[in-house]
Amino acid sequence: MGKHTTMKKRHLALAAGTAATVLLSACGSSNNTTGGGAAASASGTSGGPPIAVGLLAPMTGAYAGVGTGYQQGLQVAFDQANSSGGVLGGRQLTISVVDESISDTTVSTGAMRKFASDGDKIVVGAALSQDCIASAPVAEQLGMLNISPGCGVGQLIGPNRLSKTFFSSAGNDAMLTYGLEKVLTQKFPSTKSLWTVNYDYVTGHEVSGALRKAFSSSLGAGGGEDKFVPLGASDYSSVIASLASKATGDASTQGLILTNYGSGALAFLKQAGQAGLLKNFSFIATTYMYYAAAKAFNGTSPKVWDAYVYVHPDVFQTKANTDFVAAYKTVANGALPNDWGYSGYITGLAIVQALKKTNSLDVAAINTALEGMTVNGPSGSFTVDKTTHHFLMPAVVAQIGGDSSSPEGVKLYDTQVIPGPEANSHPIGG
Amino acid sequence: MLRLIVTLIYGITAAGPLFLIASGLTLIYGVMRVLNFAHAALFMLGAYVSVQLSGGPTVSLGRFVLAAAGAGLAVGLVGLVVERLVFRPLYSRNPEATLLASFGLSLLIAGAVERFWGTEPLTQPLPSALSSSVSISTASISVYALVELGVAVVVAAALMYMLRRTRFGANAVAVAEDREMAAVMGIRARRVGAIVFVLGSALAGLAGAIVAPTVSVDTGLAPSTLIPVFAVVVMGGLGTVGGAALASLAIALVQGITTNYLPAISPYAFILLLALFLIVRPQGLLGRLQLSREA
Repeated sequence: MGKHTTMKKRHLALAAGTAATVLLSACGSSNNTTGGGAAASASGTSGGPPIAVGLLAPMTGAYAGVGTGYQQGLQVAFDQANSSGGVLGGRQLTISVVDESISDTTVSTGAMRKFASDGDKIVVGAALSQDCIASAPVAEQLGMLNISPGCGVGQLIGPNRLSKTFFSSAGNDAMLTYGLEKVLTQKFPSTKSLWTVNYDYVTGHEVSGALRKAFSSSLGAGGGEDKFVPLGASDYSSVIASLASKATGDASTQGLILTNYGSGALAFLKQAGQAGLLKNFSFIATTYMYYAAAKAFNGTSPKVWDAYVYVHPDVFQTKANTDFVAAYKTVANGALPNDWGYSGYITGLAIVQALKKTNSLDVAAINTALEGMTVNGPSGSFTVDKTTHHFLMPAVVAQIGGDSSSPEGVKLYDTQVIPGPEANSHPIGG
Repeated sequence: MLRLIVTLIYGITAAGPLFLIASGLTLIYGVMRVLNFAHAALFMLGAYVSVQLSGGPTVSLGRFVLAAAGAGLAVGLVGLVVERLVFRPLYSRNPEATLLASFGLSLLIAGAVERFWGTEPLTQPLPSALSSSVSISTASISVYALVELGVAVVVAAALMYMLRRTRFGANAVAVAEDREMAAVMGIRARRVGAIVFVLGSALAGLAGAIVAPTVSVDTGLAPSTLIPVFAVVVMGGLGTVGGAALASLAIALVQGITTNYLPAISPYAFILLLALFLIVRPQGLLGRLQLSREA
């Protein structure tokens, strides 16, 4: 009897633990559909069943902010469309979400099958390159159109791209690196040494190599070194030790580039700042959405040059941007949009525009409508390249940093916008 | 020469946080034979709790210390609950069951953290008293890095004292050596195990609070910490506190030296070092036998 009771207790404990785990996982990551919010119900009219657009993006884990931003941006675009009568004769747009957080390619391909079995015709995502590469051909095979706000690698937008129904609404390394090198070499002509801190992966090597080449050819800046750490590393003591003993020249001649994005850049800046190292550089720069890290500093972020497609809500002084920011705050509980929210929004705008143009859910027709289409968004007008299917957005190079009196503690100090045609016409390192 | 001196100083200070995180894990394994995959998640939880208790963009030294203590206490309490509900029912089962349970627990903690604190990264401010740096010729080092090292040294000394010189330590060693025999000798093995688990978890929470001002406090913190910490525990010899301290020092120094002098291999330096140890000395620096003497 005692043994039986013990066994029962064990089973109960295991069952409780398992149930709790499953419950929390389900809460955080399962697919769920979000409607058109207040705008959808306010419209009142319906010309048929809602049209669900799939969203495959990280909603939990270290990249959850990316997926949340996409979803909220997409929601703003769909709310605007729904409140103005919907699409295809009054049908409402909704979002069906699958969590990409595990970054297992079987998850992304499985998600595509799930969207197809639900009858979805358009999928937004994935966010991570390896998932896009795996899932984009599957989406095409299943007869779906696929737009990713996160993937812009050569396999997906190059001449021999993996899927003919894939579109990229992401910034890519080439345009961002070009923007950064153009602005920084103009603003810091005294630079003689470039120090870079990078995750040890393809983007880290590509971006640091391209910037080193650009600084060397335009300014003769041959000094400095590239430091690489494992992807996801949070301890930078060995890199800081190296920089502390080597990067000891005149600050006006030294620049610092970070390609250890997100939490890596934040951890490095904290540790380097505490060691008094950041004053050794005339500029600190990165090429990927520094805003979230700057916000986490609570008004104390160092000033960082960031290159991406939005960077800060104050960059674009247009009515479309003002309206977007106001609407985004409504769906994001008062939070301001960043690059992820903006990317989700312009993706949503393009989908709405294509659906209105074709007035059908025929994937081939939507595909054709998107090719060469002009999208009007917060950053003005840009086109979708007919051949590569890449959204030719402007590149934004801006310096942002901490300021406790600014919204979310992040202030825009300086900015330069590189027009889309120019930003997108330079191969990386070219 | 300056380069070498700076590299060595940074290497020694970098060993501090590494040991702090690993100490609880090795303590729990040494006594309970539980390889707790959720340890990194408990460390992450400690970082979040300390940010919560610090309560804003600036923090005084006193509040920072209280927040760190509170994080240790809170995570220790979580350890108490977890030991009772998750691990205790599994002690008599094979190690795979415990390992799987600890993995599930790490997912549970990560999910709970996201529910409570959201998905955006947070930062823990440093008190102004600890925000300065010390000059070494033209280079400089953060005062807080020295504080981290100091805390690690105190924790290591306290653990060794506890295991070698106290009655509780003797009981823990007995339980580590032979749980059933210890029970026959009148030692309340379950109670000892629970206390060790709480202590190990509290150390994870304290480590989270101590490391928090130097990192991005987000749910990526646990996975990014897990591998280096397990490397420390394996290299030190599973379950040896002294071994973990030596391994932390070895890894941090090798990392610093390769970054400065052999940059091509620096991203993989600790993995190479771990592989070398597994080939040459699989029992680790001090090995399991040392545990019983040390403890």
